[in-house]
Amino acid sequence: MLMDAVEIIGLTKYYNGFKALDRVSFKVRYGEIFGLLGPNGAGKTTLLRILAGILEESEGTAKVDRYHPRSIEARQLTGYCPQESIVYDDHTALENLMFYASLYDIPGGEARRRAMRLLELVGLDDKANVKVGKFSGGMKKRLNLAASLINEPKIVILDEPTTGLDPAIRRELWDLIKGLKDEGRAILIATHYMEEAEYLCDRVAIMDSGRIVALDTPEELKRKIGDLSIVELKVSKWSEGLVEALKPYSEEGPVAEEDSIRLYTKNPDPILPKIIESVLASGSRVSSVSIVEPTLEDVFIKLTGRRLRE
Amino acid sequence: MKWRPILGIAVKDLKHTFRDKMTIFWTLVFPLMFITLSAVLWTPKEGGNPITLDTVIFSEEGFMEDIGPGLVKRVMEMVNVSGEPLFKIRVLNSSEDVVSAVRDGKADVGLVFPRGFAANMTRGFPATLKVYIAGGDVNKKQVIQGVVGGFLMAFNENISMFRINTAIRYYIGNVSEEEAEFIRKSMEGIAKPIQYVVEEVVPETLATREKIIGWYTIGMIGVQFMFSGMIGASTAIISEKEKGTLARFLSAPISPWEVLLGKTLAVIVSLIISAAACIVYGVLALNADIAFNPLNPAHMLSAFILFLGGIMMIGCGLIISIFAKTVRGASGIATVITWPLMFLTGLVIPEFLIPQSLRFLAKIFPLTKAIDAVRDAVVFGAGVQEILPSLSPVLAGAIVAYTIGVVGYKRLVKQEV
Repeated sequence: MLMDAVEIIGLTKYYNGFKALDRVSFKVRYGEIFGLLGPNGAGKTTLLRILAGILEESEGTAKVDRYHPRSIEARQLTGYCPQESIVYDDHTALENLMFYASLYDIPGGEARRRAMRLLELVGLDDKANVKVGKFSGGMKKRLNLAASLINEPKIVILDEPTTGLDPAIRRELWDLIKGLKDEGRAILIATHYMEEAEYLCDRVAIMDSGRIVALDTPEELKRKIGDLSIVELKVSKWSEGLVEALKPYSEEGPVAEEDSIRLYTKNPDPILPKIIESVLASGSRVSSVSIVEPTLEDVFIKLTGRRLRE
Repeated sequence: MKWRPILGIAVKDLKHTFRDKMTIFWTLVFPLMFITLSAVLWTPKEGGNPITLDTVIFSEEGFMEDIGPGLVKRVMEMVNVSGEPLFKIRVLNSSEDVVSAVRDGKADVGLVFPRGFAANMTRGFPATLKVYIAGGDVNKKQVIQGVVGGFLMAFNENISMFRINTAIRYYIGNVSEEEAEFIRKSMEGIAKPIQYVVEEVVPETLATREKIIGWYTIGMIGVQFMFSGMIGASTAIISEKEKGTLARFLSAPISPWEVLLGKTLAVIVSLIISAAACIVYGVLALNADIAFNPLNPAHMLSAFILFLGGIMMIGCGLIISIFAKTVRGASGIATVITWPLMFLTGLVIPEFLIPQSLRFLAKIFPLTKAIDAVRDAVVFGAGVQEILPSLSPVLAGAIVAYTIGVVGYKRLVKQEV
């Protein structure tokens, strides 16, 4: 039987008395993309840093393959890509990868071969000798990812790898990450983009305040919305007063974003006229009303009563 | 202990160091500029720097040729030191003009010859003149006073001897050669009761300009060790922490100690490069008298002591890391500490120029001892026995500073985990 890539049981982490992780348990298999979805401060980065061997757990156990994450063996097996850019602007792309190869004691010739292969993989082979200071944000993120793969890790740990990128570049990176999964690697990815989790992940753990509040495939998680229908109103302008006025019609509290408001209700038909009346009374106009499919954000709202990006 | 990661970190840091224009300035350009300025401004030329005093004179009875004021003026114009005139003389129209010129800084010295000066001189009576010396700058005043006083003393002695010889020849009349010599010596004794010969005794080791430039060159290496060692080490770890790469290092299969060794190695190599640049430039461009021979035990011992001095400064930099939260903060603290030390520890400013109350810093600062050991060995040719006493204080400084620095580094890493 193939060993789990990651197994954590009751993992808890305290920072100066503050509980950043609270009895987190799950397993990740090889050939699986496992997502950690949650708002900032949910504990995703702390969890990934423990698995990358950077942080020490306070309680519980964590295993990478069969090793403790801080063991040399585990660190040989993992590749960690933090949120921040870890590449050096005054070094070329190739020099950056050669440097990270040296941290894994990879001999020069082999390091160069791997670096060139990875640069090709992330589409930067023609920029191998260009200083990273001249790179765009997207190119740096791709090089970040390449640096985390220099040791050919069986387990890849990605902390919000696409944050700050435009949608087209984000999709390019998603395809890269899917390719890594196809090579049989286990991928752990933290994100606060629900569409990223939905597109990439085989399973998603929804985290809030250091705890896992739900863990399943994206489809199963969305089913947790149950018999609630989601009414999405496009309005000309929204205000706090309008959101307050719509509260009685939404079981999870209305969610307003830019020009739309989402309401959660078991029976939308009888309340629709009242909703429109409330919008008009607030001085706004309704551009469209639709019943939409639930997203992971809707699941998060149902589970925590809060939005992902609050 | 794996050497590839250590070398990888060191090479990465060195590339970073020598690709940054500001760092190149402080590591290479600044020391070479400083050595050049030291050689040009503060190192005397062979035979000393000739002085020429701007001199203004006025005589109430004019300047008749070779009589009274005219004689003094002509002799003054004839005095040369190393081919340069000692007095550059301008004749003014009144005593007020003389005083004004000195007061306004247009002249270094002013002489006013009153009426009757020539007559008194001719008769052999005392002749009085007024001398005005530019005050304000104590050092300059002392130099002018010394030059003018020395000139007048020599002038008086020559006049005295002239009068004595004249008296013997014309007034005393027929005496034998022996009696004349006796009388001449007795009268000379009245005019010059004590005769003295002034001879400058410069320490043999500093006797040449080349050795003085060598002294400054090695001193600048000390300054570099202090600046680059402390600033480089203080920012090395914090910069990785600030960038987020320290955590990334710790996720690789290397220990924090390998990271620290790589960082330390990078600073040491950059110090060696800077020191080599100083020596090569000092020797080739400025003719500094520095003779390093790797087969000379004293030279190798001094190099080892200097290495320990570098480790001590790196330790001090790591200590700063304990208190600083950002690269700017670390660099700021290191700069605040190093600038005063540069002037007060005798590295490039000779100890005798440091105020008495602050000289203890030069006496106790281990890096000064390390630099003095190098100077003694490679500039002044000292042997092992002479520089060996410097070893223990520098070794102690290195052990204490680096140990405390390592504790600070552990604390920094602990914050990450």
